[in-house]
Amino acid sequence: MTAVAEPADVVELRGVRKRFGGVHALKGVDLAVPRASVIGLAGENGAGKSTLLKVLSGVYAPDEGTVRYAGVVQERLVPAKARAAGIAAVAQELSLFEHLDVAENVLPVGAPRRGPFVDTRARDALAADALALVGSRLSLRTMVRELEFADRQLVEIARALVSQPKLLILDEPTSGLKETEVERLLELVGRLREAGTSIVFITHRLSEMFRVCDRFVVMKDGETVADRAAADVTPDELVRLMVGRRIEAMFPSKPVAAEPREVLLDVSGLAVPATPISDIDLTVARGEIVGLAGLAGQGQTEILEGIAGIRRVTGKVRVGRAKGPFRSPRRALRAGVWLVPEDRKRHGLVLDLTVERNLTLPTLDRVSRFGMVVPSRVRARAESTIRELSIRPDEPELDARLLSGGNQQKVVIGKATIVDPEVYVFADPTRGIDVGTKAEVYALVRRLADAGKAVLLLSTDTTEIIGLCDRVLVVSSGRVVAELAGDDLTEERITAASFSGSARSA
Amino acid sequence: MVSPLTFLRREPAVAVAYIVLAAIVVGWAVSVPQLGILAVTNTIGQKLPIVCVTIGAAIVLISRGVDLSVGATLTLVNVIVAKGTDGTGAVWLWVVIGLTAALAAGLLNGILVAVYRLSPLIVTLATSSVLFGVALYILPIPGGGTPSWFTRIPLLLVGPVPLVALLLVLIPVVLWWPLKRSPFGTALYAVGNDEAAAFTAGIRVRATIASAYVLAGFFAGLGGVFLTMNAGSGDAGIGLPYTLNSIAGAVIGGVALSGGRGAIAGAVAGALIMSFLNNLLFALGVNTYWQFVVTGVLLLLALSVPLVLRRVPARRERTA
Repeated sequence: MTAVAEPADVVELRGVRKRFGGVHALKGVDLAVPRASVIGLAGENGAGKSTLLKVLSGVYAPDEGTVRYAGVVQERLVPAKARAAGIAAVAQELSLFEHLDVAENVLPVGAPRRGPFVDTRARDALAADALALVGSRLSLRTMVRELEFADRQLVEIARALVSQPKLLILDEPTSGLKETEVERLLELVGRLREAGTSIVFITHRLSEMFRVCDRFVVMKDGETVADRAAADVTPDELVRLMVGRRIEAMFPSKPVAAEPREVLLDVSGLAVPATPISDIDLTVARGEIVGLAGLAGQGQTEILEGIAGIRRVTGKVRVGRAKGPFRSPRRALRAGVWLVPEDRKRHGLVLDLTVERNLTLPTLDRVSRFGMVVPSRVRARAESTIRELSIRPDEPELDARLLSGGNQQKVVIGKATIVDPEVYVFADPTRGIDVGTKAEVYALVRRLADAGKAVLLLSTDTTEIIGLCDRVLVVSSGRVVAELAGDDLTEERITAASFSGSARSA
Repeated sequence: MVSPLTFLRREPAVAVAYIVLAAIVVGWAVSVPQLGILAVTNTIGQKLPIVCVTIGAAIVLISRGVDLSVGATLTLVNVIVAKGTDGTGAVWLWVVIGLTAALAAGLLNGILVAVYRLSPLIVTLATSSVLFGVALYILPIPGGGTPSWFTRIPLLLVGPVPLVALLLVLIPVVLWWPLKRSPFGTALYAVGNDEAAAFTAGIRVRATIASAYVLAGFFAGLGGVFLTMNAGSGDAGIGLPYTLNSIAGAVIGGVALSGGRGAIAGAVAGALIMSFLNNLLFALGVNTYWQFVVTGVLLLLALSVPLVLRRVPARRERTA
């Protein structure tokens, strides 16, 4: 080993690759984090930001490449080791323990001891200090299950701070916070840097980034595409660096805006308890495809689940003449809404049932006589759907498990077309499927709209949203921050809106 | 430190369990004719095994697992101590051997569940079968014996207090309380709450889960030792009901089957409720058939208590 005198970088990644199944999440990333600097990590959905942070903090082991902490190459990295090396991360998904109290959550490990016991008084003092840093006045004895979202986020940040890290990783730390809390956090970031701490910061709010970051690293498709000093970049430039230039002729043509048609889905004031999601208003008319865009995890999925009766929500949901919110998917279906779920393996398919059984599962009463399922009717239904959607192989008796991802997704959508609701709700319908199948799915969705259905669709792929939807709502921090249609519907506008979301007013 | 008041606010099921327990014990005390110190001592002595086993079962439940082998572990220790001691008289040696076997059984469960990620339900069902088979091999028909001074231990008095009553309090306090206050205690609840989050927080997840099963083995073994004191002999068929009774007791006392929640103090109360209920029904002269029916019905009622209690704060949150 060459002599490393006083390593300048707290962390250095060299040629890091990470693959999940067939998807390259990181394709050879280099990143150096110097001491006492704040780096803003920017990029669209799926660019690999969160994966990169998880490699930094030892949650994911890279397939290739090296991770150096203070110049020392790390082998078999796990979160405990990263923590010991002075790296603390606040991940996007909170990782608190519901049935432990605030103090235990701030110091779940590494609490000071007296002999073999946790020294609760010393621990409480440390926890109180960390909470004071983020300006929280929570009682240490409150159970986390009783806390609101914003308070949980502060507890999570306090947990990262309590170890006095050399590198603090913050992935969307402000999404649920009130303006005063955001303000305090940004000030804290500045103070920590002065004290010599380095920070890697992800936020979808450009204004926050420009306030605290010294440098921007822009990621696209699993690679770092730009690394600039903050002073040399304008917000517009940063957006341009993030967006892709892929234009694909795979989308069906959109109808010319016709006269307004009957509104089938009308949502107003929808809110999801214990999340920042609130004040969601949206409508979808017959023949219309409306998209929900925005960075991943801003509340789009929860909104769809709320509309489809999977998640408890407050506010008003109207479908045709039926009034919601609906208390179960079954009630929602009776009103005319059906959700094509996000995770086909968990919610969309019964993998060990045959294709035909999967297709007819929600509509068994329609293929039954005297309460018994009639196999010939199942077969007839299935065969016509398999033909319509060109599901391959076209064998109704095959187990769903044996189909490719794209064809599994067609089965999930086929099931919905047999149900034949008035309002289709799609959650990321093309995730993880090949380009050819994507084009088929797009054509099918457009056919449904042309047949007079209302379609609400969530996608984290901006190109897809623009190519397919008539109208797009951009969601950020649980609010609709922009509505775009026609010529306004561009990648720049969506990205700018996604990254502009204003903080929740106090 | 968590004050008693805070504790009860967090785990109201524990308070309810102790109130129910008190009612049952009072009912029992009133309905037994001529209740003497000997009867009290004997009855409490009979509770020690199930209390120990339930502590172990609850620890595993808190880690979001389940241990179906605690009854078989208790049985194994019972036959080892009874058979080994018979003739040689070296009781303590065989107690140590028995407890070592119990720890080994727990470690096996722990490794299979925590390291090899096998389903705890099936793993512990399988080891239960193995342990039961070994116990039968050691002692095919009930027998063996322990010296009479050993079987008289439960009858000893410490001042005016029966030793067994003291043990009932001391075992949880001395053997569990320090663990709860050690870093392992927090880790156990954290892992039961959310394993992925615990891993991310830097907790040693596998070691924590494995330790839970080892502890379950130890407490079941301890139960076996007390059982042998009471019985004075060994019987490979004796431990079967302990497995499910221990899980039921823990749940009655507010330990969540979904993991990460509950208190050992509650589990102990739950176990005592189940057990004293039998005493009460017997004292009241309730017909054996009806004893089963009443036990089942009361069990259902008791199980619904934590559920009802949990609903109340949940509603308040929703409207807030």
